Amino acid sequence: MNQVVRRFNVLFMLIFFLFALLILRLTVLQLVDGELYAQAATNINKKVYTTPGQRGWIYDRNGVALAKNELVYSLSFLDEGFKKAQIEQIAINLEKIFQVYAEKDERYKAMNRVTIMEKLDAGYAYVPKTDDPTQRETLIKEAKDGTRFDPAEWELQDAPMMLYRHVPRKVAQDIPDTIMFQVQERMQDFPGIKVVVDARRVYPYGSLGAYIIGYTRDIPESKVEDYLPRGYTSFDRIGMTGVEASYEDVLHGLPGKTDVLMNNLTRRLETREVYPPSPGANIVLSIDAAYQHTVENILREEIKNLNTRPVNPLPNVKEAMAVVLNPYTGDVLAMAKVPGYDLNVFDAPDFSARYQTEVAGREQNVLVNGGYQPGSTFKMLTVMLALQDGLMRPDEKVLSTGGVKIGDRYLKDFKAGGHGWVDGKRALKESVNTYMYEVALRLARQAGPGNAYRTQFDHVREVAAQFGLGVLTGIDLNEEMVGYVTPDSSDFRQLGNLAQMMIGQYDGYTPMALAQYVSTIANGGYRVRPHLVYSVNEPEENSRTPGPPVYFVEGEVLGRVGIDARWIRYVQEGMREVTQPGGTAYAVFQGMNVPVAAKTGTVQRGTGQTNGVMVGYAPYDRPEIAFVVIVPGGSGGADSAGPIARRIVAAYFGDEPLLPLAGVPDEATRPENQP
Amino acid sequence: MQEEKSFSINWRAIDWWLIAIIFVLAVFSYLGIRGASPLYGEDTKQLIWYGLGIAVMLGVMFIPGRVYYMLAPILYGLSILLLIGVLIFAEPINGSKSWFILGPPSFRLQFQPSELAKLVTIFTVARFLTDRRRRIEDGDMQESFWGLWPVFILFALPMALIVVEPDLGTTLGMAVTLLAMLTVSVRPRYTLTVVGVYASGLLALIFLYFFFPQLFFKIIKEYQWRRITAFLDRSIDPSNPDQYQLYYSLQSIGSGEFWGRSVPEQELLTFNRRVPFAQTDFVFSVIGERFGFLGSALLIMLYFFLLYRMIRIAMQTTSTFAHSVIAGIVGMFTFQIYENIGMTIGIMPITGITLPFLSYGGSSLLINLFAVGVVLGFSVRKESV
Repeated sequence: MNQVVRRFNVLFMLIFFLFALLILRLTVLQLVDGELYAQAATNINKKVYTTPGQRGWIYDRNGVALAKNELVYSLSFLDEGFKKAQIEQIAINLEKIFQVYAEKDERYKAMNRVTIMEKLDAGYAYVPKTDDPTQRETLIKEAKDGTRFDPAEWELQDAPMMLYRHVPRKVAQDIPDTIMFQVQERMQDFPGIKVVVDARRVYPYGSLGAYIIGYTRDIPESKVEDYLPRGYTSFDRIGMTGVEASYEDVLHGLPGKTDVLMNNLTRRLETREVYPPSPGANIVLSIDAAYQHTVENILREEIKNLNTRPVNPLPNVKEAMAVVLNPYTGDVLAMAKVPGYDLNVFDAPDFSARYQTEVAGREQNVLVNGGYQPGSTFKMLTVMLALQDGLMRPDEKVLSTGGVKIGDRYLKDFKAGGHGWVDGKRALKESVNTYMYEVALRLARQAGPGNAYRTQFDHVREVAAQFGLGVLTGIDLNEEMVGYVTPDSSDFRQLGNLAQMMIGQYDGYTPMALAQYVSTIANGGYRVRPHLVYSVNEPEENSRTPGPPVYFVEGEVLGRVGIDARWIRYVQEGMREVTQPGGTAYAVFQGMNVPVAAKTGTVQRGTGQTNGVMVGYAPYDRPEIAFVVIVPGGSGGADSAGPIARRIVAAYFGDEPLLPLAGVPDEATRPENQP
Repeated sequence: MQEEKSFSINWRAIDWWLIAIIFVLAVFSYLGIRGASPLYGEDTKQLIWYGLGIAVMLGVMFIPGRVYYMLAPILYGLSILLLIGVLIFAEPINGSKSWFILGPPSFRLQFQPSELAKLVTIFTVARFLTDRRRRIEDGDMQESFWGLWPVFILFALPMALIVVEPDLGTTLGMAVTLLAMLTVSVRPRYTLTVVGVYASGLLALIFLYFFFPQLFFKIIKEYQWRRITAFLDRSIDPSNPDQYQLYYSLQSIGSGEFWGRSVPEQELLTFNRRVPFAQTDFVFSVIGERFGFLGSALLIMLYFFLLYRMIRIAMQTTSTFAHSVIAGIVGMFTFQIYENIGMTIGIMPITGITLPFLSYGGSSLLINLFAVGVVLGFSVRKESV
């Protein structure tokens, strides 16, 4: 009997041991780590929703809205615990509705159940039935671009969810009213689908200021991760170019935060708004939309004129660009390139077709990142450098006989037979190359014997940089880049090239950099940062006006150039001479009410073509504007860029009427809403 | 005359503690199931089952052990037939053919033949061990390991039928039950031999896994393997379907801390059904979250006390049959309690084992209370076998 008791005791000890293990584990779980678990548990049931704030509007300096939001309808989906078959049915029902619009609106072409299921993101995905990898790929590709889709070739499988189940997914944005009505009338066919009011970015004046305003797009998939921590949702749009991009942080509304308490079945138990969404700030640009519009129109008309004029027509001229700055404040008054593109294209139903014909090849903002050699417009810098370095005396004259031999090259003046004895001012007035070559020779000599002159390239660049040439101007655009920098290899550092550099045939600069250079000359030597935004304003309820300003973007002096004021004055006078009788731009600005200082440039592009360049400022005695005009493929600067420059100045000073703004009709971007 | 006597009981010897424990467990069970916010009033139904079960338990108390001794072979045959029947006729629930569904849909009764088979196997094996002991004491046979072969056959048959359902948990439970019965009835080294056989079986599986994985996965189903790896994986990821249940179970029990989680009921994880099967297999998660360490430890102590009272009864009786039966029942409960609570707190892999007396489920509660009734019966009379 004792034996039985002993054996039961063994059993009892084992039980005791096992139960002690349970208690031990509970101690760790509930007493040691309990607090951590309790904290985590609170967050499991509480979900935070963010509601995006409205994006700020963009206005011109007079309060004309250039980028605004329009209310549109979107479809969102929330899985309320549906079964697989129900979700499939939702996708099929949506497919039916969308396919009716596939003809009218290319966005719906690819809206078959495969892509819809992807957007529903409910834990299922259609996969091709075939096992052949190449065939699979074609099927997926065809379904994605909407060229061909056959439901029989697909089967529904489980798939991981991209977003948490409780996060509503956007199924279709900006749907036509007809789809909206259909979905609302047949709600029972679309459980979980909701029609939500959403905002669409609209640019009422189409291509106006395309390179200033920029456009928005959905956050690229590769960048979503970067934006989510900053309060963006995956449906949000971000500025891609222009002010839309560079002032993204200002324009983007602050998301509202709502705590939602919910159980496992995605049923909401309680909703508590922590703080409401706040709209992004509005932006007022420094441009006057009417003036910008007029400048764009002048470019367009003058391109046409150059193409078709009876005398010396230039059919190769395809584009032209102009920048107008306030030389003291850095306000960008106009910044235009023609042809531009309609900013609404990116939201258009027929986006891909329109992109090909209207946008492709024009998207690059060459105004701030193209590289254009300045040609003779660089000569002010040459003269200032020569005077500052003591290479030339202000009254010293150089004999131009029509050309000069430098190294193994014979470099010519554009005037056959030469200009005779010229000083610096006259060298600017008549654009005398020989004077500049002489500066190059003296510069080389100053450096020392042999190849020592090569360091002078860097010296010239250093002085040019003080005027904004070859460096970033600091304009408030993300896409700004330094133009074209000739490589530093010894192949390019020939004596002949130093001479070329002195006549602006070496490095290439952006039109904006040239504008900063001219402004610096015009204002007496202060490099001012150009800016497109005039002020950032508090959002208002109806957005009819920009609202009270929060802060102004002031003109900022980036530096004072290391050139004596008298030498700046010297080239100012030279530039004034350019528009006087005998000057290269005399004919261009003849008879104008405002005194203009200017410089022409004709850039040899090596392809036999030339770029026409015209820079200048007005009025000469009290500059209000500095301007740069570049006509790629144009003839001489005075001939092709000149008429544009004249009209731009005239329009600014009221000698040419401003063109009234013409809005893009709403129907142009929304064909399916036409009656 | 003797028959009549065996049906009368010694009222003084009734283990009132054991009965009291059952009543407290009924309260725990009700609170646990209600805390899982069941959809079909399972909390109330469980109370009805408890009423019925306690009546059965008290009734069973009057049945002398002899009756099970005599009926054991017949019951064994019947339960084997039921186990075969369930494999042929049952509709799979959650992928395994373990249940007979009886009654109209409005009051559906799920009956699990393996629950019955467990108890009946205990009776049958106990009967064999009793006969064996008598013959050894009479000098009719020598005690030997190989003489135990009918025990192994009697266990192996239902275990084989249950493992193909598939219901690995119950099979393992029976293996443990066998060990418990052998511990009290045969020489320790025989028990250790069986332990050695189990261990070498485990080693053989490990060997197969590393060298013949194809064969290994023929024996161990893929989902079972995933459960084991999910259990072994220490970084618990709620988005992994195999770890989802464990994640939320740990969350809810852990967040109970010492006193139980003090938030509005609707914010409790188990109440809003984050933990699947919280009214059945994972009822301990509810207890852990609501009543904290205090309640959970109390419940575990209660179970310990229950087993202690049963072992005490075993120690006080002289019946070999009673010894074996109680050892079997204690082994069965111990395994279920340890495995079930262990899986909710992450020290055992997840299986479909319910928590005795707490999980919702009429037929298993009835059988468990029946078993307690049998043990109570042993305490109130001097057994003749």
